[in-house]
Amino acid sequence: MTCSNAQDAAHRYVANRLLGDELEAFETHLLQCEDCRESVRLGSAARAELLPRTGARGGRRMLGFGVLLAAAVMLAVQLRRITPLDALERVAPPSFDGGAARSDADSIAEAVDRGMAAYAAHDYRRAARELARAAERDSTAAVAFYLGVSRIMSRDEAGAVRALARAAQPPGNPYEADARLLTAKTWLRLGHPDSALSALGFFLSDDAAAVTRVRALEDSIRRVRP
Amino acid sequence: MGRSALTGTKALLDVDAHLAGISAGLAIVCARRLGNRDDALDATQETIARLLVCVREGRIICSSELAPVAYGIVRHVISDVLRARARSGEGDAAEAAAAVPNALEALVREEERRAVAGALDRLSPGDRDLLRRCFVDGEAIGRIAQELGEPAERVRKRKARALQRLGAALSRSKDWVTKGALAR
Repeated sequence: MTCSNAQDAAHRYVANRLLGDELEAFETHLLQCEDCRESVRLGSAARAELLPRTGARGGRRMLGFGVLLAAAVMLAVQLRRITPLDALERVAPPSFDGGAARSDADSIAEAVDRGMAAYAAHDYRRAARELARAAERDSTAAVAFYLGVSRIMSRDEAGAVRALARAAQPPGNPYEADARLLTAKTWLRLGHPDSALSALGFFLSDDAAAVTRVRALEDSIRRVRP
Repeated sequence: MGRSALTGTKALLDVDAHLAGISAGLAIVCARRLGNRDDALDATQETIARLLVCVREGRIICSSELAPVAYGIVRHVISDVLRARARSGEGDAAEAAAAVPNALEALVREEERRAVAGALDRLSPGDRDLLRRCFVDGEAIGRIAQELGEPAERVRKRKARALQRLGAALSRSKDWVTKGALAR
């Protein structure tokens, strides 16, 4: 791979769109080309800022999440054949920067903190256990949301749907859009595209960006479902 | 003097010249595949250690072989980490092997993100949208150019110029991954 065509590959690498031989060629090139590493660096920084967010841009409290960008998962070592629905159901766990899901009560806050520490360390099974304990006494959308994500990543889809249903309540809370998107993706994982559409179908919001993301996933499911 | 000793000495000199760059590249690859800074740093170090053994044993003859050999090694190291995770119940290997989508963004330091945010705000809406389509949506330049009705080369140059403006907001750092993010 030469640097001129690698520059085109660099942005697709950052966006997790390179596959197979192209991915391997670019990564090998990356080991020997400072310019392309710099492009990856700048592109990653730009991507971090340009990803759709549910809250204020750059804010520390909210999830910075392009949950809809779940399809942007690298497929290089996937063993099975990828279908359009497979791509839609992919989930990118939203990053957690340490300031979101706190509860007021001290005892619950400790469980939440343990859960979110595990979440930040990508230990989703432990995060799911701790957050489930917290969620028994803390009904906030934030705890339910991260519990839902942790369960998705632990392959507990049924539990994830339950938690995310709580995270979507009350309507209008900051987690509602992402909770609905993730619920839809979880239904896709379970092989129920119609349920996925139902999860998205009743979403109303003043947040135009959130509405756009929900409708985009809805349209994509309609286009590719069997 | 045996061939391996001679080539080993020559290659060692070349390794010194290339090691920082290869380490940074390996760290990016590891972070992408493993999604965890600590694991990425460990895998990078393990790969470098194995690479140096290859050099010492004279199995690498010239510097142009360093990157392909390093890439071959790192793939094995990453596979070992993923298999170990699967064995310890942290997830199946195939799922774990899929890149963590936010891993690269996590490598960018907070102050760099702030600097880039300011630089992005100074870009024209068109250039900002172009960067979004490239780095967030991962669209091919050809497709973007077709939709915009512009030659691909012009779009490519616009993207390069926009990136240069972002780069001006940041100091260039050869070891940005290992020094900046993986070490924190």
